[in-house]
Amino acid sequence: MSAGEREAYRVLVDRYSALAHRTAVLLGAGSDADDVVQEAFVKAFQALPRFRAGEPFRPWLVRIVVNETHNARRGRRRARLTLERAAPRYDPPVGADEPVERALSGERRAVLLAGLAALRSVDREVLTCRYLLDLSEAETASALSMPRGTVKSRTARALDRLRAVLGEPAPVEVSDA
Amino acid sequence: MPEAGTGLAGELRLLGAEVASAATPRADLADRVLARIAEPAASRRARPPGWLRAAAVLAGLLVAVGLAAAVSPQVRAAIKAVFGVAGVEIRPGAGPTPAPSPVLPGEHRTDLPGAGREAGFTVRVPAGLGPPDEVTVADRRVVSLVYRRAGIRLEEFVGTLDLNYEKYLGAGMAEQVAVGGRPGLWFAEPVTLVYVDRDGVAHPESARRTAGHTLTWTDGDVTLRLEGVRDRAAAVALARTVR
Repeated sequence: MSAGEREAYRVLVDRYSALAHRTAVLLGAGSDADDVVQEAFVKAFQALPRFRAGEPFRPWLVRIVVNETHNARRGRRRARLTLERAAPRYDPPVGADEPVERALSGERRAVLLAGLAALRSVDREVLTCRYLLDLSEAETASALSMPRGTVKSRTARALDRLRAVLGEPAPVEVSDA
Repeated sequence: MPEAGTGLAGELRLLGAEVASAATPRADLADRVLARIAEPAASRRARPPGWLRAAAVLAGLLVAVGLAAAVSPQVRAAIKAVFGVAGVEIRPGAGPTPAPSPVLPGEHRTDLPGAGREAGFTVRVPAGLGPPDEVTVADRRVVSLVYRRAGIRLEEFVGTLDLNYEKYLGAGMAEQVAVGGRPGLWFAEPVTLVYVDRDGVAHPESARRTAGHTLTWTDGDVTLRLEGVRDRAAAVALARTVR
C-alpha cells in the first residue's frame, strides 16, 4: 500500500475517530474502547472494497464499530460487568461550560446509563444509534443492517422497555411537545 | 447540534452529547491504525497499478497534487462520500515544487463565448465583478476567468466523472460549506495544483501554488474553483452569484 493511500485514509480516521469512540463506549466497550476503535478502523480499511461510491460513510463505519464492540464483548463474556465499569467514563468534566438547563443531573445520567445497560443489546443499539449518536432513521437502518421501518418500530419498543426498566410511565399519546 | 427534543428521547440525546465531550479517542489512534494497515504491505501491493492513469483517462482533469502516490478507488470513494463534492478529491501531503511561471497545456486567451465553445459548456460568470480581465481555455477543458483588480481567479471545468480535482492537504484543512444548497469545500490553506491530461500524464510545468482561500463547488456537471477571496462567507456569497 502506498504512503499516499495511507495518508488519505488518515483523513477519514481523524474525522471519524470521535464518533467511533463514542459509539464503542456507549455500546459497552468500556476500557476496551480504544482497542475496539483501532480494530474497527483497521477492519473498515480492509472492508473498503465493499464500500459503494455514494454510500454515506458515517453509518457504514458505525456498523463496523457495532460489530467490533460485539466481538470484544463476546470475547470476554463479561458484558454486564464491563458496562458498569464503563459508566464513570461518561462523566463530563466538572464545571463544563454547558448551559445548565441542557445538562442532565449526575443522578439522572447515572439512572439512564444503568437503564441502558440493563437493556438487551438490540434495544441498546437502536437507542444508541438513533438518539445518543443522533443518527437519522435511514442512517440507523444502515448502521444496524435493518429495514427503515424496523428501525421505527424497534426504536419505539426500545424506548418502552427503557421506560419500564426505569419504572417510568409511558407518555400520554399526545406528543406535540 | 439538532434540537434534543423532549421526554426520554431528548434526555438520551443530551446524554449522547455529554458523552461526546467526555469520551475522547486516544491521540495516536490514526498513527496506530495506519501502522496496522501497513503491515501486510506485500499482499496489498497487488492492487492494479496505474489506477490513477485509468481514472485520469476517464475523467480528463485538473489535479491538485502533493504526492504522486496512488490512492485506491475505495479510499477515494470513501473520502468523496465524506466530503461530498463531485469531482473533488482530498489527498493529504505536501505538493511538488511550483513552476516558475505555471501554464496549463495549450492554455491560450480567448473570450467568454469562445471559451464556452471550446470547452463545450456554458461558462458561468459571477455577478458584480464586471467582465473578466482575462479568459483562457486550456486543453479544451479548463476555463479560467481572471479578475486582476479583485485578485480573483475562477476556474471551471466539466466534472461529471469521479475524478476531476485532487487536492493534497492535511486532515482538517478542508471545511464543508453549502453554496446555495450545493455542497462545497472551503480551503483556508494553500494547495498545489498540477494539471493531469486525458492520458493521465501530469504536467509539472503547470504546478501552481494557490494563494490560499479556495472555494470549490459544483453546479450541475460543472465544477468551479474560486480563488482569491479571503473571507469564507464572502467567497460563498460571491459563489452564489455565479450563473
